[in-house]
Amino acid sequence: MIESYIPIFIMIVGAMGFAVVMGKMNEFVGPKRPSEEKLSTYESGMEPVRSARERFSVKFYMVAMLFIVFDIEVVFLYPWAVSYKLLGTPGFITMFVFIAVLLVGYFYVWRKGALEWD
Amino acid sequence: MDLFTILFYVFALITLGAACVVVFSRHIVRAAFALLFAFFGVAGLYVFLLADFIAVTQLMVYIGGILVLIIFGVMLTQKQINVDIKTSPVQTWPAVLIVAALAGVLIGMFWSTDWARMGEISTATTATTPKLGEMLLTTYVLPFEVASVILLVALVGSAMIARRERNT
Amino acid sequence: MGFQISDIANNAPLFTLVATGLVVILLESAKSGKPNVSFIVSLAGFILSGLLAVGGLKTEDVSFGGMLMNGSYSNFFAIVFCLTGSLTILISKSYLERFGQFRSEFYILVLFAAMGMVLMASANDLIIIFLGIELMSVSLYVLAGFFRTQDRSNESALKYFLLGAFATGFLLYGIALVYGSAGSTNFSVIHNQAPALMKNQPLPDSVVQAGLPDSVVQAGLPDSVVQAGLPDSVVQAGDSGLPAGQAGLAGTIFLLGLGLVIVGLAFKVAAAPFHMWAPDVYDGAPTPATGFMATAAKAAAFGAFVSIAFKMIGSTSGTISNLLAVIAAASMILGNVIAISQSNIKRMLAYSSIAHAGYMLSGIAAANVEGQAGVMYYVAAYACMTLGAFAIVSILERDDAANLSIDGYAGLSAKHPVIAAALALFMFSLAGIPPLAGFFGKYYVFLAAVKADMTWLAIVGVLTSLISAYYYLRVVVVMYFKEGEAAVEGRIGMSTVVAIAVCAYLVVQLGVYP
Repeated sequence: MIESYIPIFIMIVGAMGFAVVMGKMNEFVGPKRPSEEKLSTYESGMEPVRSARERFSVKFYMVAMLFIVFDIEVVFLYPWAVSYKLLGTPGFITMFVFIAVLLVGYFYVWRKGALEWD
Repeated sequence: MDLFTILFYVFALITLGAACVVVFSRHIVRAAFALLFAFFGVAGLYVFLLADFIAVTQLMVYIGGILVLIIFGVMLTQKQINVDIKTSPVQTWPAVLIVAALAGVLIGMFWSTDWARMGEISTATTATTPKLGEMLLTTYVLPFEVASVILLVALVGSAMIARRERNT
Repeated sequence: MGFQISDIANNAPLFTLVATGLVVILLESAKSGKPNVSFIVSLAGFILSGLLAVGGLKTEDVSFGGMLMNGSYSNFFAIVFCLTGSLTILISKSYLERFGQFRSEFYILVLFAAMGMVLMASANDLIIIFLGIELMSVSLYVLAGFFRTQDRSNESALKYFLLGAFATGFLLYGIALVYGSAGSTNFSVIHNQAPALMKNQPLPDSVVQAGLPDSVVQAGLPDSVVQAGLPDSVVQAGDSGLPAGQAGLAGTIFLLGLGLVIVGLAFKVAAAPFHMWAPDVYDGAPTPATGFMATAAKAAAFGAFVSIAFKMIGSTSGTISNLLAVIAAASMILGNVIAISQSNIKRMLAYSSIAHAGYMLSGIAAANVEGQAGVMYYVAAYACMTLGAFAIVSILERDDAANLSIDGYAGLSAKHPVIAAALALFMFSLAGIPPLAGFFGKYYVFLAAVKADMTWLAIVGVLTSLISAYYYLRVVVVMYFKEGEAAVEGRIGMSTVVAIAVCAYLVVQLGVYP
């Protein structure tokens, strides 16, 4: 049973190793000609470091909240997807009701303008 | 000591170490990121308990969701980002009493549990996720649908509270 | 197993509420800013659901594979929730309009909260209890903070949320422990296991004593009551197949789990050691929401409480009974004594609701048929009188929340004799003066306590009722015999008047023809 996780462990170790090796290699191999523009965090993006006193907009909270709700929905989808063949049509209808209820919420949030950024 | 035993201790170490950082760090962002590793370590421990669905849920909901929310929450809070958290103990003695009682229960559990029998359980169990999916959509169909309604209410409620003020 | 068509028919009130909630959300999304439509649709949904519940009173059945228990018990509570829900909606209209917060979300949340309540009352499984409580609580947290621009409302919502989440943790941990020891979350299964688990418990007297604060023991708790809870444990422990230590452990875990479940529920009903949130939350929340919380939410928690006490644990539980009796006595004493010193009427009603939770708990502690019937009657009577009182508070409340003080009611009888008379009626009923509903509620639960050899509990109840008469009647005295400037600003909403009339009628009706 636990043996089936071996690929995942290898994957984790591989991914970590790859990231570390690539990062370090860049440090040793890459040429270094720093300029002020290049040293900024995002060369053509916005300045990420600002005064910490500024408050983040409540928009971020809204997005995070929506994300969590649909994240949990996915968690419920997962066991259904695994045993989909076994459950057949009744399972499909049950899942449809589940998603339909959440779709109502999605529709509400959408119409209320919570998905618009400005 | 086989590979799994070593891996188990690695995960246990990650969890414990990260949890210690969360508790003792005076920097709230650092604590939040340490929580990431604590959650990750716990997910690994779930795998060792053969609770594959719980492990996946832990990864998706806690690491993917709750932690993002925590970091957002930290950032939403004014002036808190670089401020040291200052706590001072209040009600030391009741706390000591309760902690001692809880520790006693946990240690009691630890001693009285027949750990040797756990081996039998681990060989007898198969993947839990398909079984869970089956149960969730047959026997536990009502709790399943009620869960969707709770999510709906959470959605509507948070949209209501966080709604931007219109100029009407 | 699982799902059948008859399940929908059996749970018609539940599904009506869900459907209404979904329809209101869709209407609100499709055509934003028409709260009048939501108001009417929600009201219609509640009334339809209530009527369906009346129709379902006779059929006893289990549905969803033993998840829900339908019948007179669950439908009785469904009627109470639909009644309080529709009355809350009626009260809220003019109140929300006055504060410029007349929005459909209020009705959506009330509908879904009511759905959670129906689930709690008809639950036959701990999972459903948990989900119902969550559904109800999440809706109520938002309702408490419905006035987003008011600091008081935000404070109320935050306090309710933090403490509520904490209490849910206790409840869930308790459920986990019960599941671990009994091997199921289903009430019927646990009910069969409970006697064995309780008997295998090695040292019940230590648990009993641990649950009792010293003060109560000294306050004259007869030894026999404590002793009554002791099964012949030590003899029996060796008989079961399990080794004595293991069996004892399962019994201890079971009791521990039950204790935690009771803590979680006691929080929801705002009973004594877990009541601290109630005054602040009730004070800050919008008054119709407060009324809904104080009546329907409490009724729902009692619905779950009675189910757990009678259907899950059964009558063999002396230990649990004693624990409940102590909580009940503490609630009655604390709620009534602190209520005397309150000058804000919402806070006064909050403490009074703690005291009433104590009265109802004594019915559960009695653990007999009279107790169960008494609690059910009390829930209905209490819902009517408290909601009526909150309705009147909502009429008189102004923007600055200045005239929430009891002294602000001085001279009300001269300006608005009908409103004053109605409030006096509710106060008399809350104080338990015959022949109103409140009196018979108390009578039934105390009778049950006496029958269960808990005379001391009934005596505590009667004494604290006497104390409570003082602060209830003070409101009446202030209204009638003090000169003052109490006045209603603006027009009184028609719907609120209807709600008050219904409450007043029911208080008298339930009292005269119990």
